[in-house]
Amino acid sequence: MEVDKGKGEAEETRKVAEADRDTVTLKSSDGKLFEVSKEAAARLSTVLAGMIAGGSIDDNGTDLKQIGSEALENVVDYCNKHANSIPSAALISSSISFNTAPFKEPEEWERKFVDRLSHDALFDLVEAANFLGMERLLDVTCHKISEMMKGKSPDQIREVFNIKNDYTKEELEEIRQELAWAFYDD
Amino acid sequence: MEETATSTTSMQQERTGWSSLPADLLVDIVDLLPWSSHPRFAAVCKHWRSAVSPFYPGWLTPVLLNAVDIGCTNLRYYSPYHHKIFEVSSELETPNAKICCTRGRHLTLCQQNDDEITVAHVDLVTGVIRDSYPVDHDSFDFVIYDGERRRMFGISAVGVLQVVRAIQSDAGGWYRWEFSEFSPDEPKIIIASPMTSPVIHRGLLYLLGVDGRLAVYDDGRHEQGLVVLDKPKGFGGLDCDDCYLFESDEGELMAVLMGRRGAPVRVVKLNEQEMEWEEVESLQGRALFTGTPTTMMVKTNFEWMQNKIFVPRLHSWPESLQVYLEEREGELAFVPVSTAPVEQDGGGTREMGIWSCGLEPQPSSSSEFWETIKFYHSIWVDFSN
Repeated sequence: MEVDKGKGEAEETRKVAEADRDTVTLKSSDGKLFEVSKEAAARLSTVLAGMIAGGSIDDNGTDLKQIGSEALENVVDYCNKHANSIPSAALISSSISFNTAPFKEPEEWERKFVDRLSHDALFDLVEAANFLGMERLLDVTCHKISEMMKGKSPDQIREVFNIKNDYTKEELEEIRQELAWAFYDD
Repeated sequence: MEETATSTTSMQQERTGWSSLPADLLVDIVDLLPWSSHPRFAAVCKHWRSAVSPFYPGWLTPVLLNAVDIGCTNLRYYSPYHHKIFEVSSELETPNAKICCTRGRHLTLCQQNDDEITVAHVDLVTGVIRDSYPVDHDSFDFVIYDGERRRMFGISAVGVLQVVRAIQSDAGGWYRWEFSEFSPDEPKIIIASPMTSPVIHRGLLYLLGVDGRLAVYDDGRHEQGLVVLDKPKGFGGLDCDDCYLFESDEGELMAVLMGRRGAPVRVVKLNEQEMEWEEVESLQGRALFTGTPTTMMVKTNFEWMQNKIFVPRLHSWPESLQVYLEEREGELAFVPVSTAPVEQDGGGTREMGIWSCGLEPQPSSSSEFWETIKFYHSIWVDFSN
């Protein structure tokens, strides 16, 4: 009983210490440790915010088994960069359509951040951002992916993203006929 | 051989990556793409197709805007391509207004209250309405918006001709109206064709008379008002019951002449050297949308629309759908409120859709309006930019 109580107290102390720190430590699936600004992590990721608020952050590295080290490095890099950037007017600019939620255009540094990534790294980052509930990072990565598709034919898109065509000839023809207007330029 | 096989397998493993992106992310990505690229996105693979929701493109051809009672009933758009009516939930809050003209996505309405007239300039996509200052005037026969110079012209054409001008501010609002001189001593009289809006052509405003004569107004000499031209003297012997003035897609001033029941339909072009109307033999593949205050001529990829003239008369009453009008990257689409699958091209109903005819001689029975339903209170709108 005595021992248990002592352990509980020690945990309390550790949690207080954790709460006082400016950063949290995250551990990738392959065991690498990354430090990230606590404020930015909580602001940008609903999952990390929940873990921080719930006290389930491990001082020795919170396990994120679903995320590889390369993707986690990008996530952490993004959070830390975001911690230092001030939102510009572009972030607040509203969308043209009044029926859909306004999409906020990526900022210059966010564009550059995703532009330098390989396709594989971009894909892993999208999955990581999705897993961590990082809405803003998802906006930025989805924007990048949509840019990669613009003006491309289905064949070209499949090539860019290494996607196998799982349609039969007949099925494709059906789509083309159903949406005849869309394929005039092909 | 074996090596090739192995590398193919490893590549295919990679391939499952992008094609298996979570559906909600695919939806986010599709939402960022212009409407016109959604079908190509859907054609990539089956999983991607599941992220694409149904919509009807609004830019393929001009669409007929119609409000049975402006201010009280919803706006609806008839698409000749789909032979469907798209009903949007918004109403225009301008009761009893008269539809005057459209330019791109903008609609101009004229509202009469006692001795005052208010002109409303409506952005059909955002729903933003810019009212002019009320003008103390009996009535305008026509109101025309000049998008290039950002001016609104109200025109009185019964008895004497007069132009009233309002200039648009940079913020989109309007300055006060300015009156031109009457032209009471004008010996020449023009009876304006009541069905067609005047047309802005090369910076001048043209008003068409029922007999084919023209009156012209120069914004740079506002005080002068409308001046009836000596030439053209008329349509060169061509008879018609209705005539509609328009500027072609290539910047020529033209008019459509129609008989009482449609046929015969003729198109004339103003020869600006001789100042005479010349009959046009062929539409050169273009389609002409007329029969409303605004007439427009557009290029079209759809063979069945080429060289055809369309008026707001329908062979059969089309299906009606509740939609949102949504813009993506400058493209407008009608997005059904219900998510039930949609039939895109109207199937075999096209022949039973909108009335049309060509310029070449044809049996009069097929080019007359018999047994068609008139789509009243409508005007062509061009959402194609």
